[in-house]
Amino acid sequence: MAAARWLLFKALGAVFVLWAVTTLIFFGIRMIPGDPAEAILGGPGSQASAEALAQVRADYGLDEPLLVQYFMQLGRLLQGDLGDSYSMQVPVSSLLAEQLPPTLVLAFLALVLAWVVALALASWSMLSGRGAAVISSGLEIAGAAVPHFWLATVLIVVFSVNLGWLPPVNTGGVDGLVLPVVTLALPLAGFLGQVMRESMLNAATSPFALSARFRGETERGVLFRHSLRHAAIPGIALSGWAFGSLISGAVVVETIFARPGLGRTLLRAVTDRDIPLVTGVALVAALAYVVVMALSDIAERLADPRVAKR
Amino acid sequence: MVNNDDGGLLQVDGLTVGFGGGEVVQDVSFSIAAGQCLALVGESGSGKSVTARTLMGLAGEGAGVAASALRLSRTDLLRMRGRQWRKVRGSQIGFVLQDALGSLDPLRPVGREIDDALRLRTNLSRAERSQRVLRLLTDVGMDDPALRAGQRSGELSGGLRQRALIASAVALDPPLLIADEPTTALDATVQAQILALLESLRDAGTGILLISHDLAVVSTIADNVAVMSQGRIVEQGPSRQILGDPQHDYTRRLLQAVPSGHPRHTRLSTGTLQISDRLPAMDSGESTSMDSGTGPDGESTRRRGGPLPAPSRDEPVLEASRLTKRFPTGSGSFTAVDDASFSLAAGSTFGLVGESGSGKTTTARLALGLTAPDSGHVRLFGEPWSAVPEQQRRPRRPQIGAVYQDPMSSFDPRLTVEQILTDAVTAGRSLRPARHRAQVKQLLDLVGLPSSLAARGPRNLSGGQRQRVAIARALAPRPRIVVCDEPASSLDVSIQAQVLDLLDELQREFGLSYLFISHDLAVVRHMSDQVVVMQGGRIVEQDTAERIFQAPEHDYTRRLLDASPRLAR
Amino acid sequence: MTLLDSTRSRIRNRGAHNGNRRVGAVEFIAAAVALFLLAAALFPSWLAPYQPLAINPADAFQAPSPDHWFGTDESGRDIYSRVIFGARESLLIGAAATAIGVGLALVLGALAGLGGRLLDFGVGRLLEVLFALPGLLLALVFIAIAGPGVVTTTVAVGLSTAPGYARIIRGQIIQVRSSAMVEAAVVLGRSRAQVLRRHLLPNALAPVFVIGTLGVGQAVVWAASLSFLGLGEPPPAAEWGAMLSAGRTYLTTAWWMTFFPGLFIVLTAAASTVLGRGLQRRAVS
Repeated sequence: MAAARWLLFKALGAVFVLWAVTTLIFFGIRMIPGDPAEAILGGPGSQASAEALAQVRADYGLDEPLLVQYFMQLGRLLQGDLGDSYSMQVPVSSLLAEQLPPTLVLAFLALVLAWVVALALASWSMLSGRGAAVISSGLEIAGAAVPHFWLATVLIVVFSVNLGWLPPVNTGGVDGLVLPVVTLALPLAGFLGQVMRESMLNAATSPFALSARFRGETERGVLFRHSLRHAAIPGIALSGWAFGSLISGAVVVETIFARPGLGRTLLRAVTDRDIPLVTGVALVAALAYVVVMALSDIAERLADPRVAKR
Repeated sequence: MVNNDDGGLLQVDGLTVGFGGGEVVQDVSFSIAAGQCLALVGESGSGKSVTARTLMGLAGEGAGVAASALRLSRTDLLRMRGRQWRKVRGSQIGFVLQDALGSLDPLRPVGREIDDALRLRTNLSRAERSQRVLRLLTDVGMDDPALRAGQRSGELSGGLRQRALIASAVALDPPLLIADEPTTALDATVQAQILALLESLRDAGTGILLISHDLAVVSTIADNVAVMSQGRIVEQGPSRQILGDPQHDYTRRLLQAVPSGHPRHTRLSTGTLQISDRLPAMDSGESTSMDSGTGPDGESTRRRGGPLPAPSRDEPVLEASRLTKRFPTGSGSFTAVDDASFSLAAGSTFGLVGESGSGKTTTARLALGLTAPDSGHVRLFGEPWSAVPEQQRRPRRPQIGAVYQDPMSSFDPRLTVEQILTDAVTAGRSLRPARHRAQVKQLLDLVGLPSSLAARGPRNLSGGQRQRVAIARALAPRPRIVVCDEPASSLDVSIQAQVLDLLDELQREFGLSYLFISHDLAVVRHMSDQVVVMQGGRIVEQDTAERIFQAPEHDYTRRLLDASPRLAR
Repeated sequence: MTLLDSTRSRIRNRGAHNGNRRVGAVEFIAAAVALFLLAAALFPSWLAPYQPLAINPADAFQAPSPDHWFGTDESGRDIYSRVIFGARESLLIGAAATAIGVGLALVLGALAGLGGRLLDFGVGRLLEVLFALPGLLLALVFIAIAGPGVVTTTVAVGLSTAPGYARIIRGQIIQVRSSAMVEAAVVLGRSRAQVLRRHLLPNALAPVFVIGTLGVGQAVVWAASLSFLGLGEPPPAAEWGAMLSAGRTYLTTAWWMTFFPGLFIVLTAAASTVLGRGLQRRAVS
């Protein structure tokens, strides 16, 4: 019962977010001076004829009052119609269906790799003692200061140009996935590792860990039976956020490695000011984000009974 | 005195533990026989916990341990190294920490925590182990062991949690159990149950080392007592002898500080308590309005050391009638205070006693006008108090002050003592101490603090000093009523004694009326003229302190009195 | 990435203990880097051997050498000099974006924390919507609407960092507002204005300074990412992001064109992170 209500609440929240994103973009674009019909025909530089502009206005319903256009768009959206891309003249929904899967694969693999690296580094720093501070500041800097574009550059120069082990751009094969996944995963691993390390440190110095030692538990036992669980909690809680940051990072990574995907589509749409496509990508990204957030929320509640009580 | 008989289970001789520069435990010797309980008593920082942890080989990082003997039965603990220590822990010595909520992993079922000890040190199969876990839980008095084994510590009450923790410590049936403040955060009735459990373990032959600051607890269970102060054992012997006829000065002071069985207004602390005899004048012109009852400039309250100003019983200073307060919860609401009426007479102390969740603190907040009752009302000096808007309460707020359990959180961490008190004497107009130094000094004198502390931040004060600053701040607007919510509960017993004495002294000096809230019956009895007993938001009994404690009428009051440990001398 | 971190700052200070001296050394290096960057921004000609825009086609695509420490670009311009001269604009963009982000966050956070239930609810929903477009996505959507360019990029970065800061500030205000400290002031008879001025604002806004320090590095990274994607200042301007964007084409043949401007961005972000964390630790303990 409570679970059903919670689910309904989340679903309503998601609908609200999608509506708000649509609305913000719709009115945002109308506040900017400029003629949308001109944008459809390729921007002010295209010297479109008056007839062509009038035709486009009629086709896209741009001659209607603003509010009518707004509700027409909401109506189409409810039917799953995201409109046609200005620049590619194909339905946005079919473009998205094509571009979403590669990005999801990329983000998912990067998330898994980031978790593995983060847990390994955090555990290592707990057991190694001496190197702990160095690992800690390394994670701190990696997590906050290494941009994807620079990491990608370094990886390409080292592994593709000099060593020739991996292709610098997408070849369609699995080996083409390695560098993009690593590029996305490492900064995230730095960030997650830092949070997990902290949580492990708190667990390892807590009274329950002391009690475990009083029962004869080894340090390794404390780590595996207690600290790791406690490290996983913030990791799970942050996974929704992490997924979002991966989608954002995918814009850069897909562009550098010339991979198909949502990120690169968004960049092209932004450069072309292809508003229906921008709206479409934003909606899909927001929906994915909301869903993953809800999943990580559920996972956190399952893993930690204290959360549900808060 | 060290008894060297061979039946000794634990033998500690000349134990010294040091960290870097200083030695925190010096030349400590004691012994425990099977089926005996030795209590190691001392205040915080006395070295008692470090002593206990050293016996487990976990004194802490960088600890230097030396002793002429450290033996458990036939095992020489001095020769233990990493792996060998782990065989001692759990199977030879069980350890129960103070805070059961923190001492059980919140993410794991308590059954698994108990199982850990069995898994590490026995060859039992999984099924046999889970049988053992259930039996252990039954042994420590759990009602539904199968259910409890699957629950996590957050789902258990404080008492059940402590039982589970004890079960995990005695899972391997160790001959020695160390219990470090095992009942400190528990309500009196629960505390009594846990002490009974420890007693039954002792009677079954387990040797117990009980670490405690609470002499009353110690007197109920310990066979022998060792009193520790500043890393040394100052006195030890059979508990009847130590508690009944203490030889060492420190032990005497400690016993004197326990507020049980002394007549009201008896000094608990030793040493002179020099408080100045007058409050500094307030800077603002508003001070006159709040003195209407006492005469100009607090004249009537200046009789230092004189008899108590006769409380005028005719008009209550604070009157609560039929107060009810509910808080919304996930489903429905929770009634924190239920139809509570009482009145506080001028110059007297009204004690409010109850266990956790009884509605004491909510009552205090209602009296202070910090939260509005759902029904009923509070009147202050005969005028409406809870029923008027905050703007109308504000000018009258100087008449009623408050002292809290945790003074640290009630101070702005950015301010120094001087600034906190300057803010108080100028009614919030200024933080610059320069012009108000004299008044600040007077306030510090009043609570017995040296002016040299004025420039410090509250972080750099001891717990007792902080509470004194909090009292000084509360008194700066010259209130006639002070609400004290567990004002000494988190302090060591000797510091508690000083704070209680100070409150008593100030009451006589200035004719203050106290609404005094505590879970500790002995403290309430020591401080109060009138007492109400609260349970689950309701007032179950209300009478003079004498009658409540001599001839309790309500069943719950009786149970509470039976459960609260009294110092048996 | 920094924002979630600082909300967790209260539990993290224990981590600093076991490596106090080492952390000190890292902080010292960070301070030195920050000083160097500031010097480059203020007096670039003292540090740079060449003019940033001086073309010398004969020297195009030189690898790093004693003459050209960081090599040269497609027109033979000295990368080291360009990186030094680029510091001013890149840091300005970072600082301006942070100022916009923190400023916006202050308004939103204060509205939510002080403005009563309805405003708190409204701001909360708005933040939820903005959070649904994480990181660069919000910035990209904004640029799609407003068009590319340095100014929009800067505003876009500020805008996309604001929700995280706003949540921290709101949380801080609410935490202080419901603290025992404020209750004690009410019991002493302080008015709302007095409580606000004396306790609420100073204690709630203390972390803003830390946020700002941490934020500049983050903003530089994000602004550079947008420039790298071709949405910021167009080449051949001597600005780190623009240099990255120009170098992208020659990534496999002249890696130094992207590596060195990128390295300076990393150094900036790392210095600001380390210094910000240092401030944070000091503020907590």
